[in-house]
Amino acid sequence: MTQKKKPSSPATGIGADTPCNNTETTYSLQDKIKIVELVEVVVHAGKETTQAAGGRKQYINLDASSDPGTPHPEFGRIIRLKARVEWATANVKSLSGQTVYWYSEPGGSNCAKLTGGVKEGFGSGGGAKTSTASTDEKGWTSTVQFYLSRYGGDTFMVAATEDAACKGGLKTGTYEVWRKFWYQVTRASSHTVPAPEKSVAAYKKVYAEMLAAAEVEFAQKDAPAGTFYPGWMVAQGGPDASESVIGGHNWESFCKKFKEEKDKPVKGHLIICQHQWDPAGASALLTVVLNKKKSDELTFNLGGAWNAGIVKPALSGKLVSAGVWSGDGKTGALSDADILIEKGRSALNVVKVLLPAGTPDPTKTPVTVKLKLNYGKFYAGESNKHHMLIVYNGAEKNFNQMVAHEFGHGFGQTPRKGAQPSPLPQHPKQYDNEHGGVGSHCSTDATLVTDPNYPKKRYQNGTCIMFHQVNPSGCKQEFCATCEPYLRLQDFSSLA
Amino acid sequence: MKFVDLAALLHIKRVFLALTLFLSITAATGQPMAKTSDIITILHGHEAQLFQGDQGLFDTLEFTLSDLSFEGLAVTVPEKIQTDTMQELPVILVSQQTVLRGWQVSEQNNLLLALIDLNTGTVRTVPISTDAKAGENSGSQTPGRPPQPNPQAGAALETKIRKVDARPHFAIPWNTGAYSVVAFCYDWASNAARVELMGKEKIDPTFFSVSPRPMESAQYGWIPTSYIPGDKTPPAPQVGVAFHVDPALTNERLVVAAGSFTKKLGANEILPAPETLKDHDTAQEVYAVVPITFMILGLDWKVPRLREMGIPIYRAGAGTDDKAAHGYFWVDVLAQEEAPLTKGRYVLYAFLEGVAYGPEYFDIP
Repeated sequence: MTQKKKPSSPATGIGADTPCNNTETTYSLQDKIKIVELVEVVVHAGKETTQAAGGRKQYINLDASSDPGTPHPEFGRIIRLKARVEWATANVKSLSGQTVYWYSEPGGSNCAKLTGGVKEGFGSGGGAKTSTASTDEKGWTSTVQFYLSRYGGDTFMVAATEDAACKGGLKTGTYEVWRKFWYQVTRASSHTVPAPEKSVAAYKKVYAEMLAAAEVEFAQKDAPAGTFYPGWMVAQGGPDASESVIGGHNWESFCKKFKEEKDKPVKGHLIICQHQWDPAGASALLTVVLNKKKSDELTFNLGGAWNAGIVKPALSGKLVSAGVWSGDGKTGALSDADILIEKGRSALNVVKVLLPAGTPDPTKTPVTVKLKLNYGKFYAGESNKHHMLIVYNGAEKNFNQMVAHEFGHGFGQTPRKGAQPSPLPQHPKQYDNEHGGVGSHCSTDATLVTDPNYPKKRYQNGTCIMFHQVNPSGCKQEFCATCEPYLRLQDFSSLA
Repeated sequence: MKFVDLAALLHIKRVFLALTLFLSITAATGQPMAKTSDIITILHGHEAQLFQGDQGLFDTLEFTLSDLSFEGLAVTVPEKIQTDTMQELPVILVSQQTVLRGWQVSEQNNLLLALIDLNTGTVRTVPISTDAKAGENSGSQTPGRPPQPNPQAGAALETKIRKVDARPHFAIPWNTGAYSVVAFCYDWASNAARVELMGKEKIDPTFFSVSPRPMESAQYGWIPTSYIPGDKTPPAPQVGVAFHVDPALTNERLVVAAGSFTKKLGANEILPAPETLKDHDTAQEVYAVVPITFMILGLDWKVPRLREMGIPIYRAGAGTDDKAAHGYFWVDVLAQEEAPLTKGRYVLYAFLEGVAYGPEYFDIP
C-alpha cells in the first residue's frame, strides 16, 4: 500500500482547494487514524486551555478583549477547535503529520442568502467551507478557527474527520448565533419602574439577549437642582408627591451615573424619569395691566408650543428673565418671589403675579407689569448614544416600546438605503422625517394620512416597535417581520 | 434676572421719542400707533448689535416696542452681505400680538419664514419654530392646545424679538444673489426685507415663460386660466398685486383667484420677441412674462401650498419704458396640488418682486 501526501501540506489548510473529496489521498490500512477527541480551545491571558466543544449560545457581538480578566470563549464569532487522533490499530509510528479534515454542518433553518464576510467559514467570515489541520507527534491538530455567520439564530456544528470526503468524524455540539447586551436602569429611589419584559422578549425573538445590569438609584436629597417638582406642577392633574424631572438642565449629571463594566461591554443606560423637561429659554415679554395685588392667571404662550410650561424654581437659573412693574409714576423690579404657581392652575403655561411691596394700590391705579419668564418644554424621551432618557409614568406599553425603540436606534434601526447590512436589500418599509418623526423608522401596517404639514402624507398607527410614534394601542411590541432579518444580521457590537 | 442695558435703553428712548412725534396716539390705550415701518426704523438704529443677536439689546428693544400699539410681524436683514467675510444671513424677526391671538394662532405651528430669490422669483418657506424633539415618540401623548386665556390674560400683549440665521434653514448658495425675506403667521405677513449677497459669481438673469397656458374656449371645462381682465378682475393697483378669491368657483379642488398687478418691468421679463397666445379665443401678443407665486396657508400649517406662475402681460397693458405695466390673471392656484383642501378657512397670498400681497381669506365649505 502506498500513501500519497501533498508535498507541502500546511499545518492548517484552508481554501477552496481544501482536499475534501480528494480521492488521491489514500492510506495503508495499518496506518489509518481515527479521531478520538475534539475540544474547544480557550485562549486567555496568553495561555491556552481546552474544554468540551459542547456547543452553546455564541454572543458574536461581544469582544473577549473587553474583559481581559476573565476568559470568554462565548464572545465573538470564532470557535477555536482542535482534535486528537490515534492510530486505528496498534502502531508505534509517530502521529506527526497526519491530516485531519474539518467541515461544518449548518442548521436547516439558517439564512441561506448570506454572502461575503457575514457568512460562516473557516479562517475568516465568509471563508472556506472546509479545512485541514496536521497533527503533532501526540496526535493533536493545530487549532482551527471556525467563524459563525453573523445572522442571529443560525446554528452550526463543526466536525473533524479523518475522511477526506468530509464525512463522519467527531462533531461539536450546536453553536447558535446570538447577541447580548445589557441595560442599566438609573432612577429615583421613589420611582418604581417595571422590568422592560416586552422589550426583552422582542429582542429575544431576534436572537439578542437583553439583560439587566445593576440598577442605580438616586435620592431626592442627592439629586441636582431642578430634578424634583410636585407632580401637579409638571403635569396637569399630577399628584402632590415629588416626581423626577430630567432634561437638558440636569441630564449630564445622570449620564455620569452610568457604570462601565468590563464584562458588559455593550450596555445601554436607561435614565428613567417621570417627566422630561428641557429648558427652552425666555418667553416673549408679556405686558399686562393689573388691577389686583394678586393677579388672576396670566397666560404665557411660550412660543406657541403646546408642550411648554413654567415651573418654579426654574429648571435652571432664575425664573424671572426680566420683570418690571410701573404705575402712578413709580417703577420697580419683579423677582422670582413675586411669581406664584399654584396647585390647580388651569394650564402649565399660566402663573399669577403678586405685586411686591411698594407698588401702588392696583385697585385705584392700574399697575403695568412687563415680564419675561424662563420656561421649559416637555417631551417623551430621547437618546444620545448609549444614554437613553425614558419617561415612565405608569404606561407600561409606552415604556416597553420606547425602551426597545431607543435600543433599536442604537443598533442602527431602521437602516436607510445603503446602510443595511449586506447582502440584505433596501428595507422596504423604511421612511424618514418626510412622513413623520425624526430619524429613520418602519411603516409596517401604518396608513398614510393627509396632513398639511406633511406634503408626502404622514404615517399613522404603525405596529412595529420602530414606528416613529409611541402607539400603545397598536404596537405589537415586537420587531415586525420586515425588520426581523435586519436585526438578526445587524452588528450589535456597540450602541451608536 | 437680566437687567436692561441703560445706555442702550436711553438711545432707544431717544429714537422712540423722535418717532412718536410722528405717530398719533390711540384713544383706547394711550399708546402711540405704530406701523411696521416704524418698528423697522427703531431696529435700524442698532443694526450692528442687532444682527449679532445681542440678547441684552433684544430685551431692551422688547421693552421699548411693547409701549407701541403695534400688532404684527416685522423683519429686517442687512442690506448687503459680503459672502467672503460674513457667513450668515441674520434675520431679525419682531412679533407683537395679544396673548389671545398667540393662543389662537400658535407661533410654533404657524410661524414661517419665506425666502424669495429676486432673480428667479422662486419662493421657499421654512417653519421657524420647528421642534424636532416633539415629533418623536409622542403619539398619543401629544399635548393639546392649552385652555383659552381668561379675558384679562388674553388682552395682554406679548413681544418677542428673535434672530434666525436664514442661511442654513434655506441652504442658501453663498454666492452673488438678491433675496427678499418675509415672515408669516397664518394670516399675518411681515414687511419684505431685502438683502444682496455680494459674491464673486456673476448671476445670469432668469427669463420666464407663460405658465399655466391660457385655456381656449373648447377646453374651458372646470379649470379657468386667462390673463385678460374680466368682470371680476379688480382694478390694477398703483403698484403690486390686487386680487380676490372667487367663492363661486372655489371648492376643495379648485381655488380661483382673479387679480391684477402693476410693476415696472425688468429687462429679463420682457420677451426678446413677442409671442402670440390664444386667450379666450382671441389672439394676444405677449409682451412680457412676470413671475408671481401664490401661497395658500391653513391654520397650523407649517408647509404652505405654493404655486409658481409666469403671468403674461399682453401688449395692451405693457405701458411704455418709463411707465409701469399692468397684468391680469384669472387662475386656479390649486390645480397642480395633489391633495384636495379639507373643509375650513384658508388664506391666499401672492408674491411679486419679493413682496407678499394679501391675505385673501377663502372658505372650503
